[in-house]
Amino acid sequence: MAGPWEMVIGLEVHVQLLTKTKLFCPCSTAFGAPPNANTCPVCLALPGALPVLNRGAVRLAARAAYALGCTVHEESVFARKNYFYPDLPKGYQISQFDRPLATGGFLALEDGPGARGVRIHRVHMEEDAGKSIHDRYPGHSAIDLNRSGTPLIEIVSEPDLRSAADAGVYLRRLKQILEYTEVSDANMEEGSLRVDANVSVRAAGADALGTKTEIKNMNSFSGVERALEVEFARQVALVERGERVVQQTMLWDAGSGTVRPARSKEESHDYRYFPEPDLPPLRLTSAVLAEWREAVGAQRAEPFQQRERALERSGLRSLEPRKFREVALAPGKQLERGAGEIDAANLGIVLRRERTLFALVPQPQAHPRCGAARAAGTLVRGSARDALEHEAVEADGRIEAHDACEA
Amino acid sequence: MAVSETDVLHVASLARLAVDPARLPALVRELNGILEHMEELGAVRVAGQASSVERQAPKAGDLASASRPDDGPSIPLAHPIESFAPHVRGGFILVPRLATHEDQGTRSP
Amino acid sequence: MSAVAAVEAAFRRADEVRAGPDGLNAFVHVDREAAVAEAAELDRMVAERLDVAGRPTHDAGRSPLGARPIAVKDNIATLGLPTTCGSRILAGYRSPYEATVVRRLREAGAIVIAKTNMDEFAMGSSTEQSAYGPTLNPVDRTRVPGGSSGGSAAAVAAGIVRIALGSETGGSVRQPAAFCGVVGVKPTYGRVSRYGLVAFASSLDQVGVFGKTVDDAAHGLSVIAGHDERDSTSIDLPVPDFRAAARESLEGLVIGRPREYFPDTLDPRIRDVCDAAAERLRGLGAVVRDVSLPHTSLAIPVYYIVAPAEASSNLARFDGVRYGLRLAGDGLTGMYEATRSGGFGAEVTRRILLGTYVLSAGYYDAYYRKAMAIRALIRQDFVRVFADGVHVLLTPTAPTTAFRLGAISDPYEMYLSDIYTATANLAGIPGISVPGGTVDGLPVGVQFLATHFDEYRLFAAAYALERSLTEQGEHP
Repeated sequence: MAGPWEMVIGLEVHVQLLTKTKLFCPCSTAFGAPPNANTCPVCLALPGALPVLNRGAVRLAARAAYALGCTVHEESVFARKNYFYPDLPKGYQISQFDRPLATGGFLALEDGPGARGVRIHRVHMEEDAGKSIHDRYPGHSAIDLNRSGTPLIEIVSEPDLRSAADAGVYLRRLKQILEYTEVSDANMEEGSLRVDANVSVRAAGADALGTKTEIKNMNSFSGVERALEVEFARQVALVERGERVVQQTMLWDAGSGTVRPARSKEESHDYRYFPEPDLPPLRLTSAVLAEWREAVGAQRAEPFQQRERALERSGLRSLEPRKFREVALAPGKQLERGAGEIDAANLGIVLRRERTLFALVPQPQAHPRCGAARAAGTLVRGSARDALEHEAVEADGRIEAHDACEA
Repeated sequence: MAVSETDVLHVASLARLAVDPARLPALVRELNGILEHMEELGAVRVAGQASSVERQAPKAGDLASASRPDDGPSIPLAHPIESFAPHVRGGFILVPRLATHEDQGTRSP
Repeated sequence: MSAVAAVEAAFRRADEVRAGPDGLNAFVHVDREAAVAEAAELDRMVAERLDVAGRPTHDAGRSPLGARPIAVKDNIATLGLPTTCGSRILAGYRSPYEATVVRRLREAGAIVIAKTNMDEFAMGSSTEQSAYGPTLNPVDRTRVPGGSSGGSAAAVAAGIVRIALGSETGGSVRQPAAFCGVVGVKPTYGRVSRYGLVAFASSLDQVGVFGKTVDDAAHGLSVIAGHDERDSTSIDLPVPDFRAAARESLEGLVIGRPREYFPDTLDPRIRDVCDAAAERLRGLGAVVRDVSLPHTSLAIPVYYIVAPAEASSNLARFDGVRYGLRLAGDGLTGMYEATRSGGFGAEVTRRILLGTYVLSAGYYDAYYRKAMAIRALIRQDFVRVFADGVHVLLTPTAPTTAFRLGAISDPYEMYLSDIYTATANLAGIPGISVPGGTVDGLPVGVQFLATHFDEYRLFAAAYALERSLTEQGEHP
């Protein structure tokens, strides 16, 4: 066969939800605690402990799904994915399998009507595993279960992406949406957003899909783009030599800029999914769903670029967080002066992209309440963003800290 | 459907159970003895295969009653992990390193 | 009687009947000093009119139960005494938290004097499959007490405690209650919190109560029943005062006699005990009617797919990592296999293998999905009968009386001991076993079943039968 070759990409993105507590127990999700400090009978999987669903996590997951244009189902089902791993305390992960929370969304890669985009196959909820550290104690792996049970959503795209650059655009836009909607920090470096990529090649214009490989171990968006290019080149070279692509998992090595096959597990995966009997099906009334959808709709209606322009005009876009706080979030008059034409009353949530502030979200209704809850001493994560938010809330004295940010 | 020795060894490996080779033939016999009684289920016609998640209780399951707010406090332990875990150091629970392991901080599949 | 006196009396009785490993082998964990100290503390609080939190109270005593010694099955998490599920894999394990049912009992004035023997992880019908060896039946020490909650049944039958907790997955309270001649109740799925009950099969498990009398069982269940925010499958419904059922008239009560529970092969002497019980209730104003539950014969095959499937997953957490036994092997996988193979006994191993098999790729639809669909049919059988105006069903609890130790070695033959009880677990309905008479000096249990959350009617029928037998001096 000969070229030109087309790359076909589908992305599976795991995102940590910005909840205060874990998905199935009231342990804190805060980072930085001593190992195994944020654990309890449930997330240690002690004999007899049972999961209880965090409805705040459901609300965030649904919000993300609506922001991605998905249908959120009135009934979805948690399932057990069974496998042994020392940082998976129960011996199964509670996930969703054949009946996910949401399906059938769309993420535009461009603005304007008829823009190109990527179909979202599904969004489902699941719990994170703990961490295994392999290099601290010789001959041992060290298990820290603080992350065990942290709420995640997995966002699975259809294989609609055709280039590494588009994959990058998809991820950056996805990150923006997750940040705007306050669903997640969506920070790949910190691990609150993780990407696995399914890649295959085919002759341009062909209908059938080629054999795919899955690439893991990427820790930045540019890393994803580079890994995709490298894997594409590898697959093209194979096919052009008349060899077959083997379905397998590849690990990206950012240092050498190469991919290599992951060591195969000693057994084939057979996760023995079955419905989680400790949790009833997740039922959401149409009234609740309608309310959640509307809240997201208002936000979604506002085009990104409009917000971006407002930010540009404000002159705050390029400020470092600390500087921003000085000029924009000082109490009283300074607030208005520093914020320029941004109305103080509309000052809602400050978002940051890496170390640079990039957006102000003008007061979506749910947000001040989230902010208030955190101002009341319950900061989710010790990030700069939270600190800023805290002060934003204080500066806007009208917001009362009486309401919790939950479903 | 009868199970073979290979099936039993496969299932045992999925379940992380070591099977004593001397015990294997007896185990296969016992399991087949049990599975034989399951065969009659195959003959039962089930209209529309009722939902596999049908619940026992009539009222289980709306979000309000079967969930909790995103709030603490966490559930306390009456005595610390060190008092029941087989091997703890520096707060970490230690296990023998996975033989195939080479990456640092790699997460489970 | 003071709490200290009650606890000391219970221990004296335990000594008399030799409740420990040298005798009945009903008690596997006991801490006498701690129990007496707890009783003394309880007495002090009652004397000072303090409630459980140490706050002043105007109640005469703090407790609806009074100061009462109880025994708890070894698969229910307790602070203080170990929780080992009759398994080597949990040898010495002390839970750092307590089950909701135990907390509620303590708050009602109960003192846990012992953890009781059981088939390992509740998998068995004779209490022979325990890492601590078998429990003996106090009625006849050459026989099994039934299982898996045999230790709790024996403790009540031997007169050590009046109330004990067990757990049910397919009959593990009702069947040993029948074998030992005591009362055993399995509540509706969702009536009692499972938080702290070590899971065997999550969709079937329910904590149950043994009582010396129907009133003891009603008393115990009244204390532990009710919604628990830590168990998402527990249901938020009001809990009636089950003891009030003692005063109910049976006038107009419709009792169904399901013909599938009285096959031609049933021991006629057991049939006679049940029929005599039905006759007594008829004499008290009840109407007895023949009914049919056509899918009954499928219950055991369905049960032995669903329960092992869930068990295979529930028991994955016993991996030697965080608690319990850890045995060294080659690397991590070797540690897993050494620990699990060395820690689990033969029956548990068999069920994990069976459960893993029926969930594995290519077999799920033929076994697990099919079994769940038929389970729904079994449930519909009951729903239909109760919708047709039947209030309670009357059946034998078990097809035999207590058999001799070691008499049953074939796994499936043992499974058939649950043939009349597993249906209620599959359907989620409540059931109670009441001593109905004897055959060759061995107790026979009469079982009542009712619709979901209608334990009250079960107790009404049970109180009436018990009273009728006692009044005529025929109580076994």
